[in-house]
Amino acid sequence: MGNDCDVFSIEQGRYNIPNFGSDFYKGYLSSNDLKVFLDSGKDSGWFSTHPVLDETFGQTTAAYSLYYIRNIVDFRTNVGAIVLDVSRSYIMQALKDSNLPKESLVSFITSDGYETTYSEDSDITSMNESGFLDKLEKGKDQGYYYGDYKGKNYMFLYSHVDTSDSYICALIPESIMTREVEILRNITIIGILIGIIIALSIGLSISRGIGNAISVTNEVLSKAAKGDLNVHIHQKRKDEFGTISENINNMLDTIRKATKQEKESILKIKEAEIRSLEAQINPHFLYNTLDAINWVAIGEGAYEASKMISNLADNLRYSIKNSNEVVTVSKEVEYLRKYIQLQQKRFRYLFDCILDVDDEAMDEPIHKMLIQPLIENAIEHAFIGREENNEIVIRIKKEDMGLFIEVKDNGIGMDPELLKQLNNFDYMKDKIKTNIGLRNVATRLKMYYGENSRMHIDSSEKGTRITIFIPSH
Amino acid sequence: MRIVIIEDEVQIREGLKNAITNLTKHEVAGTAVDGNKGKALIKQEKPDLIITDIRMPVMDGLTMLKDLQNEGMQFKAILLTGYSEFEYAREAIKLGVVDYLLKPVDINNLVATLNKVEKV
Repeated sequence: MGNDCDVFSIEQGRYNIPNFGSDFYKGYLSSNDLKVFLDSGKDSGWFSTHPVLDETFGQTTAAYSLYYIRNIVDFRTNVGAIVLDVSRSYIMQALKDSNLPKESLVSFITSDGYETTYSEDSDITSMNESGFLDKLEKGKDQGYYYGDYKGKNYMFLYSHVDTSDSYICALIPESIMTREVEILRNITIIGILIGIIIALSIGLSISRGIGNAISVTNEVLSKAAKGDLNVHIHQKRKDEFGTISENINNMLDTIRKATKQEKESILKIKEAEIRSLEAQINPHFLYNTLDAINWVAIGEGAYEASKMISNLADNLRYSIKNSNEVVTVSKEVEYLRKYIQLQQKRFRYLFDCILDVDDEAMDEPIHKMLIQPLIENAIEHAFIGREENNEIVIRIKKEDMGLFIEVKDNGIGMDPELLKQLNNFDYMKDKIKTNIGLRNVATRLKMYYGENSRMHIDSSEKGTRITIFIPSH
Repeated sequence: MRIVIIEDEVQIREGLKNAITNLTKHEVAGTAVDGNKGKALIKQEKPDLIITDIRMPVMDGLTMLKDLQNEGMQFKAILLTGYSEFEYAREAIKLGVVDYLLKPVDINNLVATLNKVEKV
């Protein structure tokens, strides 16, 4: 046992400790050292100090911490005792080796209440300081209870050692006992919280996704409702919203095609109307008759009349033949010049006319007969009841966005109700009843150049100004 | 130039004749009222220039020119037409047609065209 223990054997009638005889044993039996042990009636026990032995062998209590004593029995007669002194450090090491959880205390308590207590922070030896011995149930081999020690709650475990009346006690803090439960509880709470957060964020992202899908769809549909059918829902979703978007796209496609077909058929009807007019006119008859009149006029020296007839025929040829044709602005302007000359002669120069065309605009393509009806409208309506200072100004300008055409007169102005009707004219719905020329231009403009083209009329008692915008491609 | 005029409408035929006679140095050698009579007239007169209408009763102007060409005649012709672009342009050029006059005929245009054709 090395330095940790000293062993004494005290026997009756024999000596193994020099100079001590059986008398010593007899004397020792009646000493205070053994009284406690003998009173316990046990064969062995752990005790704190043996002052008699100390005195006899000349040592101090500091040399050991506690001792073990065991009776040696021979034929039911005590013949001696073994006393085992154990150092404090040995006990401490043994207690430390018990590996109890942190903040726990472990204590060895002898029969006489001497405590050797180990904890992480301190080693304590004391005489029944904690009163552990009083708290445990004597006679039970082991047990536990919850109690308070130095202001903290512990679980108090104890176990009877061997056949003696000594005990091993452990104080395990309640916090450690409940820690795992707390950890489990906390994990559960955190788990539930995470679950709620995940559920919420999934819910939010789904609802946001749905919200986005709906708002995208809504935006496209409201554009479509306003007439812009060149819209498309870009939706990559594979769920019902993807299907809805696809169906809406298909529907828009169908509407687009239907609208295109409708426009085309309106155009075809108009063309057919013109063709039938052309057929009714019977050009062979028309031009031959005009030529006959022409030669009569020439025969009578009426060269002015002849000139007007040729001019009229030129006008008719240009306006009737391929009336939907695309020509250059310069070709259209050449025709307009002839038309204006004819009208000026017809009305005996009732009005002056200025034709102002940008050089850059000259080579631009334009559909025939979009400007002439505007001039005709001015000639027919603007100067009623007026003899002088009548003027029509025609301007054609090319800008980056397209062609701007303006026909302005200084005439009597347009009826406000009619002006309103013409400016809000919808060729898809309204039927042309009056002002066929202007409405025809509005319709053909939309059909040739789409929704970005414009015709607008401003009018007051100072005159009327009609503007046309043809977007460049 | 000696010119023949083939035109079924009297006002136009006479008008052209008078205009050419009175306003130019050219001579009208004869006139006819349809392609058939025109053919005979042309064979007889062998004019420097034929002015012919297209649509005429009995025989139209282009058939008349084709017949004459098939018979080995060489000639210059001007067509009278109501349209600025007539669908027979390609065929007409093969048939010796050098120009056209739009109805109703403008006097200035007539004189200019005749001068132009004379130089061809």
